Amino acid sequence: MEKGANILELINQKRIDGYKYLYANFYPSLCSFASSFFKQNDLVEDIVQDVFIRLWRSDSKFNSTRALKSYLYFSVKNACLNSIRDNSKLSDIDFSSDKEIQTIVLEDKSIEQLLIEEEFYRQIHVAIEKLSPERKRIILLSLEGFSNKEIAEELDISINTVKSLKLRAYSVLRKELSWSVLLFLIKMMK
Amino acid sequence: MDRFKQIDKIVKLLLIKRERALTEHEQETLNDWVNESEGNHALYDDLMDETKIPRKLDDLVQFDQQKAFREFERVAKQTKVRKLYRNAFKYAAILIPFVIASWLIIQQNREVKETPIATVVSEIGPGSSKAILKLADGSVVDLEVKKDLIADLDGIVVQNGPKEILYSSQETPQKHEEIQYNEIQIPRGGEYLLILSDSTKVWLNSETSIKYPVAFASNVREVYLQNGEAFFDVKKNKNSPFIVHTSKMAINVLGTSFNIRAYSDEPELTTTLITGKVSIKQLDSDQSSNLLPNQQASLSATGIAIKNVDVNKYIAWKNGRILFEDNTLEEIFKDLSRWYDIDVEFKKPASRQLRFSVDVERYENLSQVLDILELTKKADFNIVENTIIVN
Repeated sequence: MEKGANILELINQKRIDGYKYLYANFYPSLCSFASSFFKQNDLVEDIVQDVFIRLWRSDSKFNSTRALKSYLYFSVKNACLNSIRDNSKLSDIDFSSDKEIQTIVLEDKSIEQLLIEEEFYRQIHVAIEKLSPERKRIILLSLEGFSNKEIAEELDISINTVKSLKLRAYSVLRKELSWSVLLFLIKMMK
Repeated sequence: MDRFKQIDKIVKLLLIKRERALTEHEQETLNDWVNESEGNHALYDDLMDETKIPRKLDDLVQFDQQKAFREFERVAKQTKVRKLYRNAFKYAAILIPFVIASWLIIQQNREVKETPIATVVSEIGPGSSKAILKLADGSVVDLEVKKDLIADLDGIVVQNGPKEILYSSQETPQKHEEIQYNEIQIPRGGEYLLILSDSTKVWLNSETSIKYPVAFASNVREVYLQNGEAFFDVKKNKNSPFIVHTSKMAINVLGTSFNIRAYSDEPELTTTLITGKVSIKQLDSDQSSNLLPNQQASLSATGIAIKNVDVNKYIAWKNGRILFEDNTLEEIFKDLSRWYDIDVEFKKPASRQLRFSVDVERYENLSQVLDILELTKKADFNIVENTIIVN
Protein backbone atom coordinates (compact mmCIF):
# COMPACT_ATOMS: atom_id res chain seq x y z
CA MET A 1 0.00 0.00 0.00
CA GLU A 2 2.81 2.33 0.99
CA LYS A 3 4.51 1.62 -2.26
CA GLY A 4 1.27 2.05 -4.19
CA ALA A 5 0.59 5.37 -2.52
CA ASN A 6 4.06 6.67 -3.39
CA ILE A 7 3.74 5.66 -7.01
CA LEU A 8 0.39 7.42 -7.24
CA GLU A 9 1.93 10.59 -5.90
CA LEU A 10 4.73 10.40 -8.45
CA ILE A 11 2.21 9.92 -11.25
CA ASN A 12 -0.01 12.74 -9.99
CA GLN A 13 2.97 15.07 -9.80
CA LYS A 14 4.07 14.15 -13.34
CA ARG A 15 7.35 12.69 -12.22
CA ILE A 16 9.39 10.75 -14.75
CA ASP A 17 10.38 8.02 -12.29
CA GLY A 18 6.71 7.31 -11.62
CA TYR A 19 6.22 6.77 -15.32
CA LYS A 20 9.24 4.51 -15.47
CA TYR A 21 7.47 2.29 -12.98
CA LEU A 22 4.24 2.49 -15.00
CA TYR A 23 6.02 1.37 -18.16
CA ALA A 24 7.75 -1.53 -16.44
CA ASN A 25 4.56 -2.68 -14.79
CA PHE A 26 1.90 -1.97 -17.39
CA TYR A 27 3.29 -1.36 -20.85
CA PRO A 28 3.57 -5.02 -21.97
CA SER A 29 0.18 -5.97 -20.56
CA LEU A 30 -1.56 -2.95 -22.07
CA CYS A 31 -0.03 -3.84 -25.44
CA SER A 32 -1.15 -7.42 -25.07
CA PHE A 33 -4.64 -6.20 -24.16
CA ALA A 34 -4.69 -3.91 -27.20
CA SER A 35 -3.60 -6.75 -29.45
CA SER A 36 -6.87 -8.53 -28.65
CA PHE A 37 -8.45 -5.87 -30.84
CA PHE A 38 -6.05 -6.18 -33.76
CA LYS A 39 -2.91 -8.10 -34.40
CA GLN A 40 -0.43 -5.52 -35.70
CA ASN A 41 2.17 -5.09 -32.99
CA ASP A 42 3.53 -1.73 -34.17
CA LEU A 43 0.09 -0.17 -34.27
CA VAL A 44 -0.70 -1.61 -30.87
CA GLU A 45 2.46 -0.11 -29.37
CA ASP A 46 1.68 3.29 -30.89
CA ILE A 47 -1.72 3.26 -29.29
CA VAL A 48 -0.39 2.42 -25.84
CA GLN A 49 2.43 4.95 -26.15
CA ASP A 50 -0.13 7.58 -27.07
CA VAL A 51 -2.21 6.78 -23.98
CA PHE A 52 0.83 7.34 -21.75
CA ILE A 53 1.73 10.62 -23.43
CA ARG A 54 -1.82 11.87 -23.14
CA LEU A 55 -1.84 10.98 -19.46
CA TRP A 56 1.41 12.93 -19.02
CA ARG A 57 -0.08 16.00 -20.65
CA SER A 58 -3.43 15.79 -18.91
CA ASP A 59 -4.32 17.15 -15.50
CA SER A 60 -5.77 13.82 -14.37
CA LYS A 61 -5.12 12.95 -10.76
CA PHE A 62 -5.83 9.54 -9.23
CA ASN A 63 -6.77 8.71 -5.68
CA SER A 64 -6.16 4.97 -5.89
CA THR A 65 -4.07 2.56 -7.90
CA ARG A 66 -7.28 0.94 -9.03
CA ALA A 67 -8.48 4.23 -10.53
CA LEU A 68 -5.18 4.59 -12.35
CA LYS A 69 -5.27 1.01 -13.60
CA SER A 70 -8.85 1.41 -14.73
CA TYR A 71 -7.93 4.63 -16.56
CA LEU A 72 -5.07 2.93 -18.41
CA TYR A 73 -6.98 -0.14 -19.55
CA PHE A 74 -10.11 1.72 -20.57
CA SER A 75 -8.17 4.46 -22.37
CA VAL A 76 -6.40 1.76 -24.36
CA LYS A 77 -9.69 0.09 -25.11
CA ASN A 78 -11.29 3.33 -26.29
CA ALA A 79 -8.27 4.25 -28.38
CA CYS A 80 -8.39 0.82 -30.01
CA LEU A 81 -12.05 1.07 -30.82
CA ASN A 82 -11.62 4.57 -32.23
CA SER A 83 -8.73 3.43 -34.32
CA ILE A 84 -10.75 0.50 -35.64
CA ARG A 85 -13.58 2.82 -36.50
CA ASP A 86 -11.19 5.04 -38.47
CA ASN A 87 -9.61 2.15 -40.37
CA SER A 88 -12.46 -0.28 -40.46
CA LYS A 89 -10.56 -2.55 -42.85
CA LEU A 90 -8.19 -3.55 -40.06
CA SER A 91 -10.73 -5.53 -38.18
CA ASP A 92 -13.75 -7.60 -38.79
CA ILE A 93 -15.74 -6.13 -35.94
CA ASP A 94 -18.99 -4.83 -37.31
CA PHE A 95 -19.83 -1.34 -36.15
CA SER A 96 -22.80 -0.85 -38.41
CA SER A 97 -25.14 -2.25 -35.81
CA ASP A 98 -23.63 0.20 -33.29
CA LYS A 99 -23.83 -2.20 -30.40
CA GLU A 100 -22.97 -1.22 -26.87
CA ILE A 101 -19.21 -1.35 -26.51
CA GLN A 102 -19.45 -3.56 -23.43
CA THR A 103 -21.09 -6.32 -25.37
CA ILE A 104 -18.46 -6.54 -28.08
CA VAL A 105 -17.04 -10.00 -28.03
CA LEU A 106 -13.42 -10.50 -29.03
CA GLU A 107 -12.18 -14.00 -29.70
CA ASP A 108 -15.23 -15.08 -27.75
CA LYS A 109 -14.10 -13.16 -24.68
CA SER A 110 -15.84 -10.26 -22.99
CA ILE A 111 -13.91 -7.15 -21.92
CA GLU A 112 -14.17 -8.30 -18.33
CA GLN A 113 -12.66 -11.67 -19.15
CA LEU A 114 -9.87 -10.05 -21.15
CA LEU A 115 -9.04 -7.77 -18.25
CA ILE A 116 -8.99 -10.63 -15.76
CA GLU A 117 -6.67 -12.57 -18.05
CA GLU A 118 -4.32 -9.62 -18.59
CA GLU A 119 -4.23 -8.64 -14.93
CA PHE A 120 -3.56 -12.21 -13.82
CA TYR A 121 -0.60 -12.65 -16.15
CA ARG A 122 0.59 -9.09 -15.54
CA GLN A 123 1.07 -9.69 -11.83
CA ILE A 124 2.91 -12.94 -12.43
CA HIS A 125 5.03 -11.28 -15.12
CA VAL A 126 6.01 -8.36 -12.87
CA ALA A 127 6.95 -10.74 -10.05
CA ILE A 128 8.96 -13.06 -12.30
CA GLU A 129 10.79 -10.15 -13.96
CA LYS A 130 12.30 -9.35 -10.56
CA LEU A 131 14.10 -12.70 -10.44
CA SER A 132 17.69 -13.20 -11.57
CA PRO A 133 17.97 -14.64 -15.13
CA GLU A 134 19.05 -18.01 -13.76
CA ARG A 135 16.12 -18.36 -11.38
CA LYS A 136 13.74 -17.05 -14.02
CA ARG A 137 14.82 -19.74 -16.45
CA ILE A 138 14.31 -22.48 -13.89
CA ILE A 139 10.87 -21.24 -12.90
CA LEU A 140 9.76 -21.04 -16.53
CA LEU A 141 11.03 -24.54 -17.29
CA SER A 142 9.35 -25.96 -14.23
CA LEU A 143 6.08 -24.21 -15.12
CA GLU A 144 6.29 -25.85 -18.53
CA GLY A 145 6.23 -29.15 -16.70
CA PHE A 146 9.87 -30.21 -16.81
CA SER A 147 11.08 -32.23 -13.83
CA ASN A 148 14.07 -31.15 -11.73
CA LYS A 149 16.12 -33.86 -13.40
CA GLU A 150 15.21 -32.69 -16.90
CA ILE A 151 15.97 -29.07 -15.97
CA ALA A 152 19.35 -30.10 -14.57
CA GLU A 153 20.18 -31.86 -17.84
CA GLU A 154 18.92 -28.99 -19.97
CA LEU A 155 20.99 -26.39 -18.10
CA ASP A 156 23.89 -28.73 -17.36
CA ILE A 157 23.88 -28.15 -13.62
CA SER A 158 23.39 -30.49 -10.68
CA ILE A 159 19.95 -31.49 -9.55
CA ASN A 160 20.63 -30.01 -6.12
CA THR A 161 21.45 -26.63 -7.65
CA VAL A 162 18.15 -26.78 -9.51
CA LYS A 163 16.33 -27.58 -6.30
CA SER A 164 17.90 -24.75 -4.33
CA LEU A 165 17.52 -22.18 -7.13
CA LYS A 166 13.91 -23.17 -7.49
CA LEU A 167 13.27 -22.86 -3.77
CA ARG A 168 14.83 -19.40 -3.63
CA ALA A 169 12.96 -18.31 -6.74
CA TYR A 170 9.62 -19.44 -5.37
CA SER A 171 10.21 -17.69 -2.09
CA VAL A 172 11.01 -14.43 -3.91
CA LEU A 173 7.93 -14.85 -6.08
CA ARG A 174 5.78 -15.51 -3.07
CA LYS A 175 7.16 -12.40 -1.39
CA GLU A 176 6.32 -10.31 -4.45
CA LEU A 177 2.85 -11.67 -4.94
CA SER A 178 1.90 -12.03 -1.29
CA TRP A 179 2.01 -8.35 -0.47
CA SER A 180 -0.96 -7.56 -2.66
CA VAL A 181 -2.70 -10.71 -1.49
CA LEU A 182 -2.16 -9.77 2.12
CA LEU A 183 -3.64 -6.33 1.60
CA PHE A 184 -6.55 -7.96 -0.08
CA LEU A 185 -7.20 -10.24 2.89
CA ILE A 186 -7.24 -7.30 5.24
CA LYS A 187 -9.66 -5.42 3.04
CA MET A 188 -11.98 -8.41 2.79
CA MET A 189 -12.38 -8.49 6.54
CA LYS A 190 -13.61 -4.94 6.85
CA MET B 1 -14.52 1.87 -11.77
CA ASP B 2 -16.65 -0.57 -9.82
CA ARG B 3 -16.26 -3.02 -12.63
CA PHE B 4 -12.55 -3.00 -11.98
CA LYS B 5 -13.10 -3.79 -8.33
CA GLN B 6 -14.72 -7.07 -9.35
CA ILE B 7 -11.86 -7.75 -11.77
CA ASP B 8 -9.26 -7.14 -9.06
CA LYS B 9 -11.13 -9.39 -6.67
CA ILE B 10 -11.26 -12.31 -9.09
CA VAL B 11 -7.59 -11.88 -10.06
CA LYS B 12 -6.52 -11.88 -6.40
CA LEU B 13 -8.51 -15.04 -5.70
CA LEU B 14 -6.96 -16.75 -8.71
CA LEU B 15 -3.48 -15.76 -7.53
CA ILE B 16 -4.16 -16.87 -3.97
CA LYS B 17 -5.45 -20.20 -5.25
CA ARG B 18 -2.03 -20.86 -6.74
CA GLU B 19 -0.48 -20.44 -3.27
CA ARG B 20 -2.87 -22.14 -0.91
CA ALA B 21 -6.34 -23.59 -0.51
CA LEU B 22 -9.08 -20.96 -0.51
CA THR B 23 -11.31 -20.46 2.50
CA GLU B 24 -14.94 -21.43 2.11
CA HIS B 25 -15.99 -17.84 1.58
CA GLU B 26 -13.27 -17.17 -0.98
CA GLN B 27 -14.08 -20.35 -2.86
CA GLU B 28 -17.75 -19.39 -2.99
CA THR B 29 -16.96 -15.98 -4.43
CA LEU B 30 -14.76 -17.57 -7.06
CA ASN B 31 -17.33 -20.26 -7.89
CA ASP B 32 -20.00 -17.62 -8.38
CA TRP B 33 -17.82 -16.01 -11.02
CA VAL B 34 -16.82 -19.29 -12.69
CA ASN B 35 -20.44 -20.42 -12.93
CA GLU B 36 -21.61 -17.11 -14.32
CA SER B 37 -20.88 -18.14 -17.89
CA GLU B 38 -19.24 -20.79 -19.99
CA GLY B 39 -16.65 -18.23 -21.05
CA ASN B 40 -15.65 -17.65 -17.43
CA HIS B 41 -15.34 -21.37 -16.94
CA ALA B 42 -13.07 -21.76 -19.94
CA LEU B 43 -10.94 -18.79 -18.86
CA TYR B 44 -10.62 -20.25 -15.37
CA ASP B 45 -9.35 -23.56 -16.74
CA ASP B 46 -6.89 -21.65 -18.92
CA LEU B 47 -5.49 -19.53 -16.12
CA MET B 48 -5.09 -22.48 -13.78
CA ASP B 49 -3.05 -24.32 -16.41
CA GLU B 50 0.52 -23.51 -15.38
CA THR B 51 2.04 -24.68 -18.62
CA LYS B 52 0.43 -21.71 -20.37
CA ILE B 53 2.26 -19.15 -18.25
CA PRO B 54 5.67 -19.30 -20.00
CA ARG B 55 4.14 -18.72 -23.45
CA LYS B 56 2.07 -15.81 -22.24
CA LEU B 57 5.14 -14.28 -20.59
CA ASP B 58 7.02 -14.65 -23.87
CA ASP B 59 4.26 -12.67 -25.54
CA LEU B 60 4.57 -9.91 -22.96
CA VAL B 61 8.34 -9.64 -23.24
CA GLN B 62 8.01 -8.95 -26.98
CA PHE B 63 6.70 -5.51 -26.12
CA ASP B 64 9.87 -3.64 -25.27
CA GLN B 65 8.89 -1.42 -22.37
CA GLN B 66 12.40 0.00 -21.96
CA LYS B 67 12.55 1.22 -25.52
CA ALA B 68 9.05 2.64 -25.25
CA PHE B 69 9.94 4.38 -22.02
CA ARG B 70 13.04 6.02 -23.54
CA GLU B 71 10.89 7.37 -26.32
CA PHE B 72 8.34 8.61 -23.82
CA GLU B 73 11.09 10.27 -21.78
CA ARG B 74 12.23 12.24 -24.81
CA VAL B 75 8.74 13.53 -25.54
CA ALA B 76 7.97 14.18 -21.88
CA LYS B 77 11.10 16.24 -21.33
CA GLN B 78 10.19 18.55 -24.20
CA THR B 79 6.81 19.30 -22.66
CA LYS B 80 8.35 19.80 -19.28
CA VAL B 81 10.95 22.27 -20.55
CA ARG B 82 8.22 24.42 -22.01
CA LYS B 83 6.28 24.41 -18.75
CA LEU B 84 9.41 25.18 -16.78
CA TYR B 85 10.36 28.08 -18.98
CA ARG B 86 7.01 29.71 -18.39
CA ASN B 87 7.60 29.71 -14.68
CA ALA B 88 11.32 30.25 -14.89
CA PHE B 89 11.37 33.25 -12.64
CA LYS B 90 9.33 31.64 -9.92
CA TYR B 91 11.38 28.46 -10.03
CA ALA B 92 14.71 30.25 -9.96
CA ALA B 93 13.87 31.89 -6.67
CA ILE B 94 12.95 28.53 -5.16
CA LEU B 95 15.77 26.59 -6.71
CA ILE B 96 18.81 28.68 -5.84
CA PRO B 97 19.08 27.51 -2.23
CA PHE B 98 18.72 23.91 -3.39
CA VAL B 99 21.44 24.30 -5.97
CA ILE B 100 23.78 25.63 -3.34
CA ALA B 101 22.82 22.87 -0.93
CA SER B 102 23.30 20.11 -3.46
CA TRP B 103 26.63 21.53 -4.51
CA LEU B 104 27.72 21.37 -0.89
CA ILE B 105 26.52 17.80 -0.59
CA ILE B 106 28.32 16.78 -3.77
CA GLN B 107 31.51 18.34 -2.45
CA GLN B 108 31.14 16.42 0.77
CA ASN B 109 30.47 13.16 -0.99
CA ARG B 110 33.47 13.63 -3.19
CA GLU B 111 35.65 13.81 -0.11
CA VAL B 112 34.07 10.69 1.28
CA LYS B 113 34.61 8.73 -1.89
CA GLU B 114 38.31 9.48 -1.90
CA THR B 115 38.90 7.87 1.47
CA PRO B 116 39.02 4.08 1.38
CA ILE B 117 36.30 2.46 3.40
CA ALA B 118 36.23 -1.06 4.71
CA THR B 119 34.60 -3.37 2.24
CA VAL B 120 31.78 -5.57 3.33
CA VAL B 121 32.45 -9.05 2.09
CA SER B 122 29.48 -11.26 2.79
CA GLU B 123 25.84 -10.25 2.32
CA ILE B 124 23.54 -10.55 5.29
CA GLY B 125 19.91 -10.52 4.23
CA PRO B 126 17.05 -8.89 6.10
CA GLY B 127 14.55 -10.68 8.30
CA SER B 128 11.32 -12.10 6.93
CA SER B 129 7.96 -13.48 8.00
CA LYS B 130 8.69 -16.09 10.64
CA ALA B 131 6.71 -17.18 13.67
CA ILE B 132 6.05 -20.09 15.98
CA LEU B 133 2.49 -20.73 17.12
CA LYS B 134 1.84 -22.48 20.42
CA LEU B 135 -1.67 -23.89 20.77
CA ALA B 136 -3.68 -24.27 23.96
CA ASP B 137 -2.80 -27.97 24.24
CA GLY B 138 0.90 -27.13 24.14
CA SER B 139 1.53 -28.31 20.60
CA VAL B 140 3.73 -26.11 18.43
CA VAL B 141 3.42 -25.11 14.76
CA ASP B 142 6.09 -23.42 12.64
CA LEU B 143 4.08 -20.84 10.71
CA GLU B 144 6.87 -20.24 8.21
CA VAL B 145 6.56 -23.85 7.07
CA LYS B 146 2.82 -24.44 7.42
CA LYS B 147 1.75 -21.66 5.08
CA ASP B 148 -1.57 -23.26 4.26
CA LEU B 149 -2.57 -24.09 7.81
CA ILE B 150 -6.29 -23.78 8.40
CA ALA B 151 -7.76 -25.01 11.66
CA ASP B 152 -11.01 -24.78 13.51
CA LEU B 153 -10.53 -24.02 17.20
CA ASP B 154 -13.82 -24.08 19.01
CA GLY B 155 -15.77 -22.25 16.29
CA ILE B 156 -12.93 -19.86 15.49
CA VAL B 157 -11.20 -20.42 12.16
CA VAL B 158 -7.45 -19.95 12.22
CA GLN B 159 -5.83 -19.37 8.90
CA ASN B 160 -2.16 -18.84 8.14
CA GLY B 161 -1.06 -16.83 5.12
CA PRO B 162 2.32 -15.80 3.75
CA LYS B 163 2.82 -13.01 6.27
CA GLU B 164 -0.07 -13.13 8.64
CA ILE B 165 -2.20 -15.34 10.81
CA LEU B 166 -5.89 -14.66 11.00
CA TYR B 167 -8.46 -15.66 13.61
CA SER B 168 -12.01 -15.20 12.48
CA SER B 169 -15.27 -16.04 14.17
CA GLN B 170 -17.87 -17.16 11.66
CA GLU B 171 -20.89 -16.83 13.92
CA THR B 172 -21.78 -14.16 16.45
CA PRO B 173 -19.52 -14.50 19.45
CA GLN B 174 -20.96 -16.77 22.07
CA LYS B 175 -19.91 -17.32 25.62
CA HIS B 176 -17.07 -19.73 25.73
CA GLU B 177 -16.96 -21.62 28.96
CA GLU B 178 -13.23 -21.45 29.32
CA ILE B 179 -10.88 -19.10 27.54
CA GLN B 180 -8.35 -20.89 25.35
CA TYR B 181 -5.02 -19.17 24.86
CA ASN B 182 -2.65 -19.33 21.93
CA GLU B 183 0.82 -17.89 21.91
CA ILE B 184 3.02 -16.58 19.10
CA GLN B 185 6.76 -16.25 19.29
CA ILE B 186 8.72 -14.29 16.69
CA PRO B 187 12.38 -15.27 16.50
CA ARG B 188 15.24 -12.88 15.74
CA GLY B 189 15.11 -11.97 12.06
CA GLY B 190 11.35 -12.42 11.98
CA GLU B 191 8.10 -10.44 11.86
CA TYR B 192 4.45 -11.36 11.51
CA LEU B 193 0.96 -9.91 11.43
CA LEU B 194 -1.57 -11.34 13.85
CA ILE B 195 -5.26 -10.66 13.27
CA LEU B 196 -7.29 -11.47 16.36
CA SER B 197 -10.84 -12.82 16.41
CA ASP B 198 -12.27 -9.30 16.94
CA SER B 199 -10.39 -8.04 13.82
CA THR B 200 -7.80 -6.20 15.88
CA LYS B 201 -4.50 -6.24 14.02
CA VAL B 202 -1.19 -6.73 15.78
CA TRP B 203 2.09 -6.31 13.92
CA LEU B 204 4.81 -8.24 15.70
CA ASN B 205 8.49 -7.32 15.49
CA SER B 206 11.53 -9.58 15.88
CA GLU B 207 12.13 -11.35 19.19
CA THR B 208 8.60 -10.83 20.41
CA SER B 209 6.16 -13.09 22.18
CA ILE B 210 2.46 -12.55 22.81
CA LYS B 211 -0.30 -14.61 24.41
CA TYR B 212 -3.94 -14.04 23.49
CA PRO B 213 -7.30 -15.80 23.70
CA VAL B 214 -8.53 -17.65 20.62
CA ALA B 215 -11.92 -16.01 21.23
CA PHE B 216 -12.36 -13.09 23.58
CA ALA B 217 -14.67 -13.06 26.58
CA SER B 218 -17.73 -10.87 25.98
CA ASN B 219 -16.92 -8.06 28.42
CA VAL B 220 -13.17 -7.59 28.16
CA ARG B 221 -10.38 -8.27 25.64
CA GLU B 222 -7.03 -9.03 27.26
CA VAL B 223 -3.73 -9.93 25.64
CA TYR B 224 -0.27 -10.41 27.13
CA LEU B 225 2.80 -8.93 25.46
CA GLN B 226 5.43 -11.00 27.25
CA ASN B 227 8.44 -9.55 25.47
CA GLY B 228 9.31 -7.45 22.45
CA GLU B 229 7.62 -4.88 20.26
CA ALA B 230 4.14 -4.75 18.76
CA PHE B 231 1.96 -2.28 16.91
CA PHE B 232 -1.75 -2.52 17.73
CA ASP B 233 -4.65 -1.36 15.61
CA VAL B 234 -7.52 -2.10 17.96
CA LYS B 235 -11.05 -2.66 16.69
CA LYS B 236 -13.46 -0.28 18.41
CA ASN B 237 -15.88 -1.87 20.86
CA LYS B 238 -17.33 0.35 23.58
CA ASN B 239 -18.64 -2.58 25.58
CA SER B 240 -15.41 -4.46 25.73
CA PRO B 241 -12.22 -2.61 26.62
CA PHE B 242 -8.96 -3.92 25.19
CA ILE B 243 -6.12 -4.36 27.66
CA VAL B 244 -2.50 -5.10 26.82
CA HIS B 245 -0.59 -6.50 29.78
CA THR B 246 3.18 -6.26 29.88
CA SER B 247 5.58 -7.28 32.60
CA LYS B 248 5.49 -3.86 34.22
CA MET B 249 2.28 -2.15 33.14
CA ALA B 250 -1.14 -2.51 31.61
CA ILE B 251 -2.46 -0.42 28.73
CA ASN B 252 -6.20 0.08 28.61
CA VAL B 253 -7.79 1.14 25.32
CA LEU B 254 -11.13 1.52 23.61
CA GLY B 255 -10.28 1.61 19.94
CA THR B 256 -7.06 3.09 18.73
CA SER B 257 -3.62 2.42 17.27
CA PHE B 258 -0.37 2.47 19.18
CA ASN B 259 3.08 0.93 19.47
CA ILE B 260 4.47 -0.84 22.52
CA ARG B 261 8.13 -1.60 22.96
CA ALA B 262 8.76 -3.86 25.93
CA TYR B 263 11.97 -5.80 25.44
CA SER B 264 13.01 -7.40 28.68
CA ASP B 265 16.67 -6.56 28.04
CA GLU B 266 16.04 -2.82 27.71
CA PRO B 267 15.70 -0.46 30.67
CA GLU B 268 12.74 1.47 29.30
CA LEU B 269 9.31 0.32 28.24
CA THR B 270 7.60 2.72 25.84
CA THR B 271 4.07 3.17 24.55
CA THR B 272 3.60 5.51 21.59
CA LEU B 273 0.07 6.56 20.71
CA ILE B 274 -0.86 7.21 17.08
CA THR B 275 -4.64 7.69 17.27
CA GLY B 276 -7.36 7.51 19.93
CA LYS B 277 -6.74 7.44 23.65
CA VAL B 278 -5.19 4.98 26.07
CA SER B 279 -4.56 4.91 29.76
CA ILE B 280 -1.52 3.31 31.28
CA LYS B 281 -1.36 1.73 34.66
CA GLN B 282 1.87 0.76 36.29
CA LEU B 283 1.81 -2.56 38.09
CA ASP B 284 2.32 -2.46 41.87
CA SER B 285 1.25 1.17 41.91
CA ASP B 286 -1.95 3.13 41.67
CA GLN B 287 -0.42 5.59 39.27
CA SER B 288 -2.23 5.73 35.96
CA SER B 289 -1.72 8.25 33.14
CA ASN B 290 -3.64 9.11 30.00
CA LEU B 291 -1.89 9.37 26.68
CA LEU B 292 -2.95 11.54 23.72
CA PRO B 293 -2.01 11.04 20.06
CA ASN B 294 1.65 11.85 19.29
CA GLN B 295 2.61 11.28 22.90
CA GLN B 296 4.89 8.64 24.29
CA ALA B 297 4.98 7.18 27.77
CA SER B 298 8.27 5.73 28.98
CA LEU B 299 8.34 3.55 32.01
CA SER B 300 11.68 3.20 33.72
CA ALA B 301 12.91 2.64 37.26
CA THR B 302 11.98 6.23 38.08
CA GLY B 303 8.33 5.93 37.01
CA ILE B 304 6.26 7.02 34.01
CA ALA B 305 7.37 10.01 31.94
CA ILE B 306 5.25 11.45 29.11
CA LYS B 307 6.58 13.48 26.19
CA ASN B 308 5.50 14.58 22.70
CA VAL B 309 7.25 12.69 19.91
CA ASP B 310 7.36 12.31 16.15
CA VAL B 311 5.55 8.97 15.98
CA ASN B 312 6.93 8.03 12.55
CA LYS B 313 10.24 7.16 14.09
CA TYR B 314 8.65 4.66 16.43
CA ILE B 315 6.42 2.88 13.95
CA ALA B 316 8.84 2.92 11.00
CA TRP B 317 9.47 -0.82 11.46
CA LYS B 318 5.81 -1.56 10.88
CA ASN B 319 5.84 0.61 7.74
CA GLY B 320 8.79 -1.30 6.29
CA ARG B 321 11.56 1.18 7.11
CA ILE B 322 14.61 1.35 9.29
CA LEU B 323 14.58 4.87 10.64
CA PHE B 324 16.92 6.42 13.17
CA GLU B 325 17.30 10.10 13.94
CA ASP B 326 20.30 11.02 15.97
CA ASN B 327 20.42 7.69 17.81
CA THR B 328 23.50 6.16 19.41
CA LEU B 329 25.28 3.35 17.64
CA GLU B 330 24.40 1.12 20.56
CA GLU B 331 20.66 1.77 20.10
CA ILE B 332 20.91 1.32 16.35
CA PHE B 333 22.71 -2.01 16.59
CA LYS B 334 20.30 -3.26 19.22
CA ASP B 335 17.53 -3.07 16.59
CA LEU B 336 19.68 -4.22 13.68
CA SER B 337 20.87 -7.28 15.57
CA ARG B 338 17.27 -8.38 16.14
CA TRP B 339 16.14 -7.87 12.56
CA TYR B 340 19.25 -9.22 10.81
CA ASP B 341 19.92 -11.82 13.50
CA ILE B 342 23.51 -10.73 14.05
CA ASP B 343 25.78 -10.07 17.01
CA VAL B 344 27.74 -6.88 17.54
CA GLU B 345 31.12 -6.27 19.07
CA PHE B 346 32.41 -2.80 19.87
CA LYS B 347 36.21 -2.59 19.72
CA LYS B 348 36.21 0.74 21.57
CA PRO B 349 33.52 1.38 24.18
CA ALA B 350 33.40 5.05 23.16
CA SER B 351 31.99 4.22 19.76
CA ARG B 352 28.77 2.98 21.37
CA GLN B 353 27.81 6.59 22.01
CA LEU B 354 28.43 7.91 18.47
CA ARG B 355 25.24 9.31 17.00
CA PHE B 356 23.83 8.59 13.55
CA SER B 357 20.73 9.07 11.41
CA VAL B 358 19.61 6.33 9.05
CA ASP B 359 16.59 5.96 6.78
CA VAL B 360 16.46 2.85 4.56
CA GLU B 361 14.08 0.11 3.48
CA ARG B 362 13.73 -2.61 6.08
CA TYR B 363 14.01 -5.28 3.41
CA GLU B 364 17.44 -4.24 2.16
CA ASN B 365 20.55 -6.27 2.92
CA LEU B 366 22.54 -5.30 5.98
CA SER B 367 25.39 -4.00 3.81
CA GLN B 368 23.15 -1.16 2.61
CA VAL B 369 22.68 0.03 6.16
CA LEU B 370 26.36 -0.31 7.00
CA ASP B 371 27.29 1.62 3.85
CA ILE B 372 25.21 4.54 5.03
CA LEU B 373 26.83 4.49 8.44
CA GLU B 374 30.29 4.28 6.90
CA LEU B 375 29.64 7.27 4.64
CA THR B 376 29.82 9.51 7.68
CA LYS B 377 33.41 8.37 8.21
CA LYS B 378 32.76 8.20 11.93
CA ALA B 379 32.91 4.42 12.01
CA ASP B 380 33.73 1.41 9.91
CA PHE B 381 32.75 -2.20 10.20
CA ASN B 382 33.98 -5.70 9.54
CA ILE B 383 31.74 -8.70 9.26
CA VAL B 384 33.04 -11.98 10.62
CA GLU B 385 30.45 -14.70 10.13
CA ASN B 386 27.40 -13.26 11.84
CA THR B 387 29.19 -10.75 14.02
CA ILE B 388 29.66 -7.11 13.14
CA ILE B 389 32.84 -5.65 14.53
CA VAL B 390 32.76 -1.90 15.04
CA ASN B 391 36.24 -0.42 14.67
